[in-house]
Amino acid sequence: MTQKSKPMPSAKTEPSRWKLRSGFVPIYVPFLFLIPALLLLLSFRYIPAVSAIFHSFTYWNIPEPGEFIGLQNYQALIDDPIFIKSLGNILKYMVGRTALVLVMAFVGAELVYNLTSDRWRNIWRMVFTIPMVIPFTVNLLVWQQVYAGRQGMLNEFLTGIGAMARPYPWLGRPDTALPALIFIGFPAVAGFGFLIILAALQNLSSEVNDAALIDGCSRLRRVFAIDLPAIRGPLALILILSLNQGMQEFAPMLVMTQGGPINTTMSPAYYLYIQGFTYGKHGYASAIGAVLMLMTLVLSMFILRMRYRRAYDVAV
Amino acid sequence: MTALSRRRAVDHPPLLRIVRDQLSANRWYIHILLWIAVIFMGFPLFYAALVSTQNNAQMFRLQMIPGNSFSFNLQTVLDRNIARLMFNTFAVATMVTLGKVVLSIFSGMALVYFRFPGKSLVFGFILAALMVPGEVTIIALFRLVALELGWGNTWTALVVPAVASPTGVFLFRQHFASITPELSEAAQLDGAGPLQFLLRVLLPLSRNTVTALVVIMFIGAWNSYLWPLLIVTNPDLQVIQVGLSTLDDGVEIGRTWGPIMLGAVIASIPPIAIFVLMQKQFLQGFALTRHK
Repeated sequence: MTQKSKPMPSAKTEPSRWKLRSGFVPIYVPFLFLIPALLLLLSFRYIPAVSAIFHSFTYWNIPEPGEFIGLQNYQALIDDPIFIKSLGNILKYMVGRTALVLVMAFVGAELVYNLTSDRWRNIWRMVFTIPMVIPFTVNLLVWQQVYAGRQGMLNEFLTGIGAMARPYPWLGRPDTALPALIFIGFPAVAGFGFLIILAALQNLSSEVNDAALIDGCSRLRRVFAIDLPAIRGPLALILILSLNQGMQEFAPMLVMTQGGPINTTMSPAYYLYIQGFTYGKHGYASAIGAVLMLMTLVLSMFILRMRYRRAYDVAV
Repeated sequence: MTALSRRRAVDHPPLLRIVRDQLSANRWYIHILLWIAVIFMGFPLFYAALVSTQNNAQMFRLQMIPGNSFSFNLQTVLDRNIARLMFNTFAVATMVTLGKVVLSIFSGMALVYFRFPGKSLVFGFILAALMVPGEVTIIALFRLVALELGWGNTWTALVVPAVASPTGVFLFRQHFASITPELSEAAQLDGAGPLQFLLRVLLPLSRNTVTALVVIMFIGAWNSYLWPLLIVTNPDLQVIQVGLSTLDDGVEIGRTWGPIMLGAVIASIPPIAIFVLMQKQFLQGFALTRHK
């Protein structure tokens, strides 16, 4: 199941093809195989992307067709305090969320890795994978209850143990709303980060661990001195994937806070949604999309470069 | 899975080894920490299941035992046509998965087993599509599908754009390329055509990969939210993820959480069931898609 060093097939090792001569297979057959997929990709991936970039330079409100206005949308974006604020918010969200996910996934994976029985390791891995398949709408609904101001679970718990005198509206106050969104799903152990890190740990050679043990290296020290450096590739991958995902985050904002209070949880992607679908300002929204696309592309380049340099190997 | 488990060292001094094995036999403290994590993680879902049996009064009292409103809540969600929502989601997710897999198999095969002009161009075209972020082009996609194609409020709008995914094509291309070339040579010598080769040789060989991708694609399609929210407004065509908030009984002021949470629990059952039954395939599919 390890996908490690499967070489990209070069021209030399390629399977011999159905020859297109001697009437065996007509030339149109491969195109027949490919055209449905290519047409779909063209229509629903490339055309919308090009159209979004093009229309970010137009005034494109429903139902008028676009009217070219140059950089005015971008000009307006720079002067839009809500958009600027959303950039700051998403930066905090990305950093906070990524740090939380990375640390907790690593701790969880280390714990499971250090179990001595294979059976238990598999059981725990399964338990910690289940949250990945639960619809996030369900998760968000439940966490709305956790944070609710009156009779919310968190409030009841904190007032119950005497840590707080009064219930606090976590999602309703500017200073706690964004952190509350970051901590959704706490302790955030489960997820793709956990799976990738655990797999990376299990791929480490046991000789190194045994040697460390014989040399009297404590388990905790081994975690920092051996495990952590050895899996830095997968960690970097998770870091970038998580940042990339955080950049485009909008569902928690849409479902739980609608960007409020006072725009402290406004994210660019949710702002795009509001501008496009609430106000019908499609040109303006496309400009937000273009900025987001540019930022995601920069991150994606990092991912590609890491892949190219084989900075990580992932197997589950 | 595979033999990735760590080996124990064998050449320790006996006393040290005995002490170490004693201490680490169960590593009970790890289990305790993991259990704490699970309780934290699992509590919200346990709570959702609990609320699905309660009425609003019981819920707001934070009653930690099942309430007496389960049948009422069930009746409410049934009246609100949850069966329809579930069926819609199932049908759409199935069509998306099927479409993706079939298209990916054909194009993957064309990319590996045929020689034709412009092949690397075609492959580059597919690869580059992986880089186009879907979410940020959503306005343009919406206008294309709803205004120009006029597919608003149809399943076509839910299925067709979702099928347009480069991931599957890429994965099948990689998979077929890893299969030994002798097979296709043998098939050609025996006079098999490409379709015959695909059906008789390639597909039986690729059963694992196909299942793994089907599992992961289906769960992904089942959980999609934003696109259906935008493109479908007709409740008869809507999917469960979007429909959850409409499961209210519409009588009380504010939301009645019992039916909504019952809906949430019901919506989570299929993906969890598929995962538990097909764990191995899920993990394999996960590894594949993360590997692209």
